[in-house]
Amino acid sequence: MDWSKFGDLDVRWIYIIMLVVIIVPLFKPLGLPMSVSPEVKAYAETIEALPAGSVVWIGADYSPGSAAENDPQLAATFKHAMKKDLKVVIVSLWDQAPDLVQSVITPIAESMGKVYGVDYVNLGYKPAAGVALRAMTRDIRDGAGNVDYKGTSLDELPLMNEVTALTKEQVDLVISINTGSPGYGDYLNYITDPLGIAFLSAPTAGMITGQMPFYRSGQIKGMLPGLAGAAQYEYWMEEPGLACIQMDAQSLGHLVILAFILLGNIGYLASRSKGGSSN
Amino acid sequence: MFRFAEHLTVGLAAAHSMVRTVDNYLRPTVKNEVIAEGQWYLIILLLFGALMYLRHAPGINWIARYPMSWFVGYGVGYTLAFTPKPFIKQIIDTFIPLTSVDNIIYFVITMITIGYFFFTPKWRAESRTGRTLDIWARRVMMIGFGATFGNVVQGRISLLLGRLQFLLHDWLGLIG
Repeated sequence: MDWSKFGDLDVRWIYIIMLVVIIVPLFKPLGLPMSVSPEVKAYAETIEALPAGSVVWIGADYSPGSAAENDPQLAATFKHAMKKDLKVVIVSLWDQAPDLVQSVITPIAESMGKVYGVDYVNLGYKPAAGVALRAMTRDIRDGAGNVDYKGTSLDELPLMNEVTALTKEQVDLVISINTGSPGYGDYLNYITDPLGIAFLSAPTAGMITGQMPFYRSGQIKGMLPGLAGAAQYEYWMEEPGLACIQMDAQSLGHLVILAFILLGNIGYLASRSKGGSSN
Repeated sequence: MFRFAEHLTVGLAAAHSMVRTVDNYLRPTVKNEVIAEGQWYLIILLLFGALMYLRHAPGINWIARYPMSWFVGYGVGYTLAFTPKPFIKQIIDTFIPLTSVDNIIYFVITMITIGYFFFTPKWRAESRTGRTLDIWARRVMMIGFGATFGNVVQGRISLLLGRLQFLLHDWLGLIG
């Protein structure tokens, strides 16, 4: 067999095989085994340890470009918080996030009988990132323009009369669902580290390595790394959802990538041993 | 066609951001804080910020540099005031007891990587030890970049899955 051919494989074959391998598990989930990583376990257990009525602040800082990863993270986090009867305040430092947030949390809240304004609030998009967050440490109304995502005055929302400032006394946990800047860095620098509030992060996969040192140092108590993190979280909650279904496809996709990397290298070595060159 | 779609997307995103900022922050702030609470001095700041648009006015576009320099100065001040604490925590976390293989590897990698970015000592380029350390520093950094790249590939597959989910589930209704 001429192994060197693998070095010159038409890239379109890779795309077609990848597409087929990814689509099949979407139609028929395989239920591949999954283990929960320590950072996901820490994330889930931090939320689990909160007593009912605790206030969780969720920074949903992403856009449609990363919704495939961040939406399942938000859905699993919000569902867990609602199950535990926690109070949730969501704010976005990205202008395209509030509508995504609403589309994710509304069906969950409705299915669990939770009331907007009492159990959870979506403050919507607030510009100026860290400056807005610091303003909220004095008075949320100042930093948020005193309105939620659809322009309702915060005075009309009972939860926002209980939670008036982003401080350690009023907020028990901060969670950042993030895909870049502004995002987790603003919370870490301006809120959680200076104020000593426990902090969890749910980054997209590409941001994991950048945040891992903060997890290691304890500045981030737990992490949901990408879609895989969301799937593990669903698995931990024993409520497999969209992320778990997609993880089958993701795992098979990774196997295909590994196989092609292997074949590409074999092709490269084979062509080199023949004294030729390979692309 | 691609250019048209590209420009349309950028235009829509900019317009969306602007409308959101006005609707969700500026207008309620003017209504609640300026008019209702009488904090009229905020108008001065608003006008000062608006001077930025003078960069499009030929002849007086230099005025736009003042609000811009104020913004930059404010941003730098803010960053310098708050970032040292998390940063120092990161440095402290590097001082770990060398009691396990993991910790020793972590310590060695940190030291040779930081050392790689000290460009001044001549002996490094001239001695074999220095060159060997540089090679290993590059190798461990490549491992770090490789891990990031691997995660990015994972993220790209997730994004493809998101689109497939949209096409096959939300749009065509082919999957449950």
